[in-house]
Amino acid sequence: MLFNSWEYIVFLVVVTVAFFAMPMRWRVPFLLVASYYFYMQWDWKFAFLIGSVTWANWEAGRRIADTDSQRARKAWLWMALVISLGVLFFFKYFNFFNESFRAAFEAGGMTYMVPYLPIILPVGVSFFTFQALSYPIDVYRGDHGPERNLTRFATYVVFFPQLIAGPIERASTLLDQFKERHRFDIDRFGSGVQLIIWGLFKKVVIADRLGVYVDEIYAAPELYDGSTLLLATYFFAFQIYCDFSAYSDIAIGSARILGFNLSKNFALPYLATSIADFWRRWHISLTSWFRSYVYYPLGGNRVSTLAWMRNIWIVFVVSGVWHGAAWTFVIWGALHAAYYVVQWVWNKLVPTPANPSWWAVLLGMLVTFHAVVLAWVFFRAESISDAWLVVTTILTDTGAMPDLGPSRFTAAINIALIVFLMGIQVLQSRGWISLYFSPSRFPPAMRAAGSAMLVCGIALLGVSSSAFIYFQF
Amino acid sequence: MASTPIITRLKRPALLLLVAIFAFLAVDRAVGALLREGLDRYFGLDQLEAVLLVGHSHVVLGVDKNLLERELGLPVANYARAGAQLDDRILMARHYARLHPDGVRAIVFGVDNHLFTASGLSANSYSQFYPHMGDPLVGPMLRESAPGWDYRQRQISHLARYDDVLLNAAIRGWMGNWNNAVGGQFKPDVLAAEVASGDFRHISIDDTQVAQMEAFLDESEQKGWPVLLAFIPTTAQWQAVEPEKAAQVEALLRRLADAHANVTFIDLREPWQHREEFFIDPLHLNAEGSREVTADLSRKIAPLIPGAQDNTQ
Repeated sequence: MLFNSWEYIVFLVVVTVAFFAMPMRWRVPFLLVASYYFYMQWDWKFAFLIGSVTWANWEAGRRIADTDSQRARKAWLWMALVISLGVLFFFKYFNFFNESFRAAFEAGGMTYMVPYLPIILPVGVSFFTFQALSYPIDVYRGDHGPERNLTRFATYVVFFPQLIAGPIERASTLLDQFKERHRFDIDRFGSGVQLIIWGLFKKVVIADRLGVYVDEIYAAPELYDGSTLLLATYFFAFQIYCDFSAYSDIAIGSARILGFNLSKNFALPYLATSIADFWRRWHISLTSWFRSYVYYPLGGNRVSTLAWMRNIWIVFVVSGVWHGAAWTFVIWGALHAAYYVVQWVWNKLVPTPANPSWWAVLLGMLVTFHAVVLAWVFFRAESISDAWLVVTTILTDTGAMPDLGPSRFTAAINIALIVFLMGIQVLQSRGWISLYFSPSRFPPAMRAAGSAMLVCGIALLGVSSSAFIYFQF
Repeated sequence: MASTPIITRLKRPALLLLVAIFAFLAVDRAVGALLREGLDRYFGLDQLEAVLLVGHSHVVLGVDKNLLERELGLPVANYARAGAQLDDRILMARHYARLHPDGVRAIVFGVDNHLFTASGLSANSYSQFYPHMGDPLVGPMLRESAPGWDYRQRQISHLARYDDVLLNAAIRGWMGNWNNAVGGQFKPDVLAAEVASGDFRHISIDDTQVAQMEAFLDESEQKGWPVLLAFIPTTAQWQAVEPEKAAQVEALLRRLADAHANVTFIDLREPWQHREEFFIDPLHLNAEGSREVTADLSRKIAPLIPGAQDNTQ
């Protein structure tokens, strides 16, 4: 059941009406059932998997809280880590490592006996394992108390708006909301619907349109010149942003209608003026997860410069691997780590003034954007050799006009939509248009009319629904 | 403290909802009407007593409407849609005739080797008719062909009836732009590779399609519409892919023409099919090719169309 489908809209309406109509004590169990129903639309068998991960982390959290023995606490935490990461490893990474070992053995002239396993990747596995795992770690650290109610904890793990592709929540931000009494609030309903409409517009009008061109070019990059590959890569940068942020917007809007607050996941990332700034704006919930559970435990920046650099590399490479079991994602993460270090060196050499001029800000945005775009090549390409071909062709063969595909009219619409998106984002950054429920300078009637215009845009320019890119992670 | 009555609390949101619904309907209907007008102009559905061209992308790209109008001295309605199959073309001819019951001067009906091939051109060519779903001829066809929810969405929103092709056509209709602006160059080696791999649309003669065509030609004879079956050129290499089947189709077209007093078969393949520089791919003409073929077409059809100026000198 895709967010960008009528089935989801009907599902959300039914769940909302039923949720607010039923007595308080039934609401959380009802959300649990609804969320499992939502997940089982993909593959009912994986409900057992998500149930196992839920139980393991809940049990670990309870046991950690109930024992005074540091050894036992550590053992229970390890149990949760092994089960959660074991599930993630088996379903997502087994074949990647297996095939990598096979290649290495065969290169060395040795026989490798472990067969390839036809494993189906459960949708959203990276998201729900991380969300579940954060709970026993928080209990172990004393950042959150144990949740005695399994139903409540299970609902926290599978809460349908953010189950498949985040935002990745923590017990402290979401779990406790299941204890609150939620009342239907017409203002929250209105703002949630507006955010859902904006998300749908970004998905079906911008991301899916750009995806048609990007898929065509990246399917056979050897057939195209540098300017075409460059255009496809720019398009991909906006496609993945619109696709992923659309999912987050629809998730946050859906939860808001039901009375829940999810974390902000994107904050105008292509207006970032540095790589550090970009990572404060892009996939914020994942960045925050890695910061809390990987970067800080490694020592964060309270270590020597060399150790800090090591920490940065570890976090970004792990983040790359989290996205996908392929070397292209590893390079994507490593590139961002390299950018981070380069930026650190640059800041040492050229201290940033307190009030930089407008052109310095613009230059920072452009440099950051293009660094991110370069890394996206590795994220999107089918293989490292394809990515390398794209990069080298862009750098060496950019004389001709790009191949705009079968319709120049469609290409013109695509470019106009990117300009429109960036225009909206500039207005959001200036506070004219609301960004995640922040105040807007436009009156409510104008905002309602604006949402109606977006629906018109979806009707006229939307293309056939396709799955969200981040579902594969 | 007394709580605010629910009616008072809902007043503002209800007003905002009304504003949103009104804004949506106003823009949807207004822009929808503008697009529909542009589309009708593009297809020439507003043209009275026009020479009607129906066909698919061969005709869209292969006939220069402005040039044909100048050559014939008559209005031309280029009602051709990419992906239009035989039944779509017949529907288009009937649609124009329904709009202008006494105004069908002649129908130039685009034909090709795949005219009677039932599948492979377009699985959802019906979607190109959505803007005209209110028409008593088009509506029933759409209700039958389109998935139910697909159809109902477009009943609600007029803008949802357009895709990029139709939107482009509507805008071009307002701008009066019928130019063939498609670029590219035919690559014989690419076609040869596709033929070698068997990855091409095979010719077949489907009896149902033939019967449909016969019924349409009977109807046109009865109504007194001159029908010119125009074979817009494709490349010689494409013609040579399945020569026996192509010959069967040609024979069938000639037999249909012979069987109806109002029908003429116009073969435009020679000499243009050998001019590779006039094609963007094996099937479609470029702007220069379309001008040459249009001039040839006008010379051949002018004597057959009442009121057309003599341009054979």
